[in-house]
Amino acid sequence: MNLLERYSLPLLTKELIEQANNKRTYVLRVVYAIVLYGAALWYYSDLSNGGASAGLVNLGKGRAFFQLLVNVQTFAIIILLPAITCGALTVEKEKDTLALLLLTKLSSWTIVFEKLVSRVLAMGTYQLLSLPLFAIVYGMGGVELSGIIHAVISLLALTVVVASVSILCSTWFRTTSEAFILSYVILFFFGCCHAFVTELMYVQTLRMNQRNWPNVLQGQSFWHALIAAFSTDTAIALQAFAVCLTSVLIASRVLFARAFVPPRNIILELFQRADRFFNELNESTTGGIVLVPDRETLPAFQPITWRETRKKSLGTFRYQFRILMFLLAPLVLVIAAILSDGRNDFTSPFRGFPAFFWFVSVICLTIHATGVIAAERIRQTLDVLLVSPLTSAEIVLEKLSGVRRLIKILTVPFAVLVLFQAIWTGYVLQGALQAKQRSVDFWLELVTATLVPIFYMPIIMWVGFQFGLRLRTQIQAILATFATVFLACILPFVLVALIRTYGLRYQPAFDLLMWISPLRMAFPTTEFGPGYNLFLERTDLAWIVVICHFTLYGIIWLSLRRNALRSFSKVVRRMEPSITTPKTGPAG
Amino acid sequence: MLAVDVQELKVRYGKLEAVKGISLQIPPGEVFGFIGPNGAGKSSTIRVLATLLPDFLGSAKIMDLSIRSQPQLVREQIGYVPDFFGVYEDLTAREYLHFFAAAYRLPMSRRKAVVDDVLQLTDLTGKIDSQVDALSRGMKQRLSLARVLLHDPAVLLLDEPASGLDPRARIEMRELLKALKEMGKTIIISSHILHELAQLCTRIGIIETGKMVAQGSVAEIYQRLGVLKIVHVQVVNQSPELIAKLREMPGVTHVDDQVDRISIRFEEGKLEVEDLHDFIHTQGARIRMFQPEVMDMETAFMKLTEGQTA
Repeated sequence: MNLLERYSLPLLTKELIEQANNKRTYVLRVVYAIVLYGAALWYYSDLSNGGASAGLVNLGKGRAFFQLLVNVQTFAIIILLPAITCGALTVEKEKDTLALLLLTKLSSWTIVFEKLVSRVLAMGTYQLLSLPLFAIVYGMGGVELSGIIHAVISLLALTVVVASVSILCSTWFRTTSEAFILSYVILFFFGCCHAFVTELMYVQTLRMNQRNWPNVLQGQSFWHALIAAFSTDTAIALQAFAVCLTSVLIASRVLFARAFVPPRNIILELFQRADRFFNELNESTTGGIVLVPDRETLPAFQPITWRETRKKSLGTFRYQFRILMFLLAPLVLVIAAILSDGRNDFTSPFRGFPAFFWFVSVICLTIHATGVIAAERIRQTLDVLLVSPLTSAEIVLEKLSGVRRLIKILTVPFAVLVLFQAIWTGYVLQGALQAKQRSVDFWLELVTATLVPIFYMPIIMWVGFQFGLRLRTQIQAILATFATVFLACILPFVLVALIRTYGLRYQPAFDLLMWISPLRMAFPTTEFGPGYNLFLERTDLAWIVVICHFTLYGIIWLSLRRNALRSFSKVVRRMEPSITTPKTGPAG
Repeated sequence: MLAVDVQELKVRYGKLEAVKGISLQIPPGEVFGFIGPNGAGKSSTIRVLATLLPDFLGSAKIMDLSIRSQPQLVREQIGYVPDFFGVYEDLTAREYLHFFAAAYRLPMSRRKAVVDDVLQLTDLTGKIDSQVDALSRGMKQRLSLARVLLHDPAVLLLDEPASGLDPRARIEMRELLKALKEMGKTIIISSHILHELAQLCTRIGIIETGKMVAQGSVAEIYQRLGVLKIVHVQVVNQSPELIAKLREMPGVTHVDDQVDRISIRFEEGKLEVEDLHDFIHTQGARIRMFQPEVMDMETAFMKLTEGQTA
């Protein structure tokens, strides 16, 4: 056996061929390029004041542009790479093909390593797309070559770390969804640890400087030197290498042991453990008093609704109550703190909460909505359901009953937030604002904040459902939904940037297009929202914008619903009298 | 009225024509076996009948109801068991059956009795409160059959129901299907376990590359392939004369003088087995063994699908 045969990396070759043969690879790259270059164009247009001050005026302004590019790349790595990598081994498990791989002469280490490299290379192709932009930035000036090298090394290190953690999760868990979620949990933990260590070193340095301790390393303190060493390119590369090596080693050690684990519903198991704990606690404290018992009933008339709302993790009352408490508890604590504080000089005491609620809501809704059909496909129960006399509309609407129930749960914290913010703005803060001569339309804020969850959440549900229905795997559907939400938020801004740059006669009225973005409405109590925005100082105009926005999204909501109900049969290939149009042959 | 009436059925997946003009007429109460290699078009045909494949040409009716224009009514007349289990594993057997009883709109007052009946028929009464994922493959498949019996359909469409089952589970499945046959259900069953189809089916259809190669009762299929009949004979006083006379006998095509036996091939239409036996006996040979080779379904299938006649 010659060296070429010995190190031929057959799995990597197969993975790359598969990626090359997949249309999705090219579609995603084009979408990524559009986002990347769109963001760059938007920023450049902003920088050059809509093209009015392009050219030499922009020389030396490359630093901020460069930072934007690095941020977009970082964001892309964090969003795309776990999605690309988490399915590397879980898909093999789901298709029962991992056993075949393990029976070959490929070692566990090779399997994990080749899978990892295939994903890193795929991500590398996305990063290469930004090279022309880096060249432009370098040409604009303001960025040193060392800075670019540092950024490239940092991005590569981040790629390796994210991919390694994801491949470890892919090896460990049974399903792609589990691996995907846990990858983010571990990466979040890593990020926190890294930030904590850096902060600790920084604080320690300050303390030492204050105490005027003698420098111990070439005129610097030990901590100075450590921080400097911690952030050098070599150190970054070494840290990434260490994480990668550790992850690959652990993954290769556990690959065989975790290859045949049965599927588990981790959320349900967590809930069941919590159940046992609370039951024991209840027994010991109250003697077992249950105020709202879960009734074990059989389905009466809507069997799918029954299963979706009683047999699923998020089904029973006590589980839903716990999710609600998880979301509400921090909000209630902050409200209590604000009320006891006595201060009324800040306009928006809940800045982080809408973002937190939206973050949780988008994730929960997407995972749940994309999974309703995907789960039936995985369990191979869809055909069995389709041959029942239930109509397609009944199947769709009943399948989504669990998601609708989740929407109701998720609406509660939003409602609490809206209510308290309305009271705060309307009664507590009004005097303070008048003193500052700022106009805040109380009713505008209240209506916007109320309509936002009512409109957006069902839209996310229908988008997720449509992708779950049409795409092969749930993870693809989740990513597609996230991408759609992201694009809906960002595209109006890119559109305005394009008009500013290339529009024949730019008018400030075009900026109204930005109000199509849900980002503008999702945070109505901030300066970003319609009530505070400078461009909409005229309240009547703000009202018109809000009405137009929600009319548009209402139309989108109804269209998505109608399309889902009409296209369901066609997508799942179920015979419906209305959808069959025989081209030839006798009508049966 | 025919239970199943298919005329010139054609199914196409992109450029691939999976079914190329199949016609079937199955009267009520018949058990029709669908035999064919993988990719022959069996499952596609069954999926059309199960209203799960809208893009087809030709005509397909179940109990005189058009699949194209009355799919909702057709669904009430059929019970479909796919080639995979199709069971919700987070439910108990009771919940699973009540789930589909509700989906089939069975009146609440009848549900418990019906569920008990189908469980008894499928011998799963003892497993009523077991989680479905705790059942064996055979039990899951019987549970699938219990499901399709809930609404008492006239036609059962069973796509490889014995696939992946162990011998005991296969025998249990076969006995269950015999019971359903006695209940008067019309059954269309596809399977690779060919000899089981031979024992169960009143008619079989052999399908290859989307075309029906042969169709008829098991006896008719055998008769059509009768030219292949072989009898193995052992005689105590074998002689070259006997072999020569056998070779000259009308209908005999080949006589193979083997070490321990004589293998005689003949055309069934021209020579009966009994006549061959009498002929050997009249030649003064003392017969120790006379064994007509049973033409099993595998042989028939192989011959037909390879286009061989001998």
